[in-house]
This record gives sequence, C-alpha cells and structure tokens, in this order.
Amino acid sequence: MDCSEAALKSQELLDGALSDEAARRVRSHLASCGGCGRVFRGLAAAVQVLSSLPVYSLGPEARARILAIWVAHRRRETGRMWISAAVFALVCCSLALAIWVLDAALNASDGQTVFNLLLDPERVQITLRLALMRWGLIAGQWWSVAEAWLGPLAVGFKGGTLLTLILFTGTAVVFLMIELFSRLRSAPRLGEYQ
Amino acid sequence: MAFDTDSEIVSACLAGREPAFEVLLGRYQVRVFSFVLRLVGNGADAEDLSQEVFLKAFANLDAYDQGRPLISWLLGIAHHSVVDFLRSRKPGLSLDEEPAAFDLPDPGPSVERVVQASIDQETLGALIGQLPELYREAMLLRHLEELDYAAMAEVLGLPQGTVKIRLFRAREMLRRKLAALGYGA
Repeated sequence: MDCSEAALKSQELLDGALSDEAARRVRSHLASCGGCGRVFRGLAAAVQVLSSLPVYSLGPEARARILAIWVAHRRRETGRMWISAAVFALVCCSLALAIWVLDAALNASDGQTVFNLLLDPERVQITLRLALMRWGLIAGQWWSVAEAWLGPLAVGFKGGTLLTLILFTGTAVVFLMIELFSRLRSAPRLGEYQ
Repeated sequence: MAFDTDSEIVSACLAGREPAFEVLLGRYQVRVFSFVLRLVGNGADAEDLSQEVFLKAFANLDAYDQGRPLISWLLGIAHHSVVDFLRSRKPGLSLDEEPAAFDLPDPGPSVERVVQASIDQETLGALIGQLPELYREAMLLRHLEELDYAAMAEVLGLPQGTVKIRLFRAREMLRRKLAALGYGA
C-alpha cells in the first residue's frame, strides 16, 4: 500500500467503513510510515473534537409558527376544494337543466328529435356545436376540480399536470361520444316516419 | 399521541392528522436546524430556512419513500434550500462541483495534543465556519448528523466516491486549522 492509497483508506478506517483485512493493511502502513501515521493521529484528534459539536433547537415560537402556517395552508386548500366542488355541482345542475329545456323546446316547436336534426346538414353543425359547448364547459369544470383535488397530490411528480390534462380531456371526449351515441340510440327509427 | 416509526408519523400526516405534523417537527427540528445553522451561520436565516424545509416536507410527504430514513429525506430538502439560499447571496457559488483528485495530505505539525485540549465550542464552530460550504456540509452530515457514506450520497445527490473525497478534504482542512492554532500547546 502506498501513501496515496493509505491517505484515503485511513479516513475510511476512522469511519469504521473498512473490512477487517483492509483495516489491518492500513494499520500496518500507518505503523511503518511516520508521515502517514502522524496525519492519521491528527485526523483522529480532529474527528474526536468534532464529536463535541453542539446542536441547536428551534425556539418554541418558531415551531409554533411553522405549524400555524401549515395548518392555515391546509385549511385554505380544503376550503378551495369544497368551493370548487360546489361550483362544479352548480354548473352540472345548470347544464342538465339547460339540456332539458333545450330538448323540451325542440320537441314543442316542431316535434323534431335530435336524430332528425342530425339528418339536416345545417342543423348538424348547430347540434354538434351545442354538444361541444356543453361538454367543453363541463370539461373546464372538471379541470378546475382536478386542480383543487389532485394538485397537492401531484406535487413532486413531473408528469402530474400533463396526466391531469390527458385524464380530463379524455373524460370530456368520452362524455361527448356518450352524448351523441345515446341520442342516436334513443331517436326513432326511420321507418316510424313513413 | 405516540408514534414509534417514521412510517407511522408519515402515514398519520398523509391521513391529515394534525398532531402528527407536530410530532414530526418535534422529532427532527433539532437535527435540521443545527445542520442549516452550521451551513448559513446566522440564526435568523437558519430559522427561515428550517421553516421552509419543514413546510416543503409537509407539502410533499406523499413523495417520500417510506423505505428510506426520514432524516435523509429531510436533509436532502435542507441541502437544496441552503444551496439556493447561498447562491442567492453569492452568485456563482457551487456546492455540487466535482472536487479534483484527492491530494496527499501534508503531515504538518502534530495536533494530537488537541485530544487533551479543552477546545471551546465557539472556537470549534468558528473553525468549521471557515471551511468552504462544499466541505463544511459533508463534515456536518458525517459528524453532526452521523450519516454513513450511502446516506450522505443520497442527501447530496452525489456518488459515494465524491462524498468520501469531500469529507476527507474537509477533515484535512480542519486538521490543519487546529494544528495552526496550536491547540493544547
């Protein structure tokens, strides 16, 4: 073992990080090399001095302040979550009412169903735009609720925001498909008009 | 409310039980505050940084891997907070730079006498404060926090070899400073 290797290994010896065999080899070098032995004894002394390093404690006011800030933060977050949920529920109810009123108005005006509207090229565009608007609004609300609910959980996860975006955009698209499909299924068959 | 393990505390915190946060803070505030204080050297700054560390930890507890010691995770957060703080005070400072190859130490005058000396804590604190932050941090993690090489590497986000060299240099610097002061002479 040369002095350069001994310099590194002797510090590992101080930390008790060497195997018995490696420790024996280092001790043997330290015993035979005056310079390395002197450095080692100096390091051992410095390490011993370090064991007397005092520790410090945060004052009771500082500890109380940390807990108070945290509790206030959590309560704010919980309040935000409930407000978002209430807004979401309100918007859903409003949209459901709007859809019901729209369908009732269409039926009352000319007895048309949505299926018949879909056969009219001009009305197809209107129907699709209406559907997209509705579900776009709902998706927007889902987004705000997701931010409130999943935001804190997604902290530290780099893909959190992207995942939330994909999840709720996907949900909006699925809802749109369900809307169109259910209207197609519930519409009367062509034969019924003949 | 009694919690035996870190996992129990963290689980209770994640379940939203407010007393658990107090237990976590009480159990680790001394270690985190002492570490930060030794690095920044100012009580008010250390208090602000410790507050930041615990608030970050509370907010990110779901990201904590319960298979690891909680103190290593907390000190990792403290390390990043201190690095940001010191960089804001000294632009260009790096606590992550790779040290060059380990130099063979100069035996210099003996400091064996220091063992018998009654070095006062203020002087020892001042000597440690004179070490570059890079090395001071490694020394504190080993001798104040009593972490092993693996845990130190985890806290600092560095390979174990780099951590060892940093620690060895820190000790060598302290050894020379003690010798220069002639403690126990």
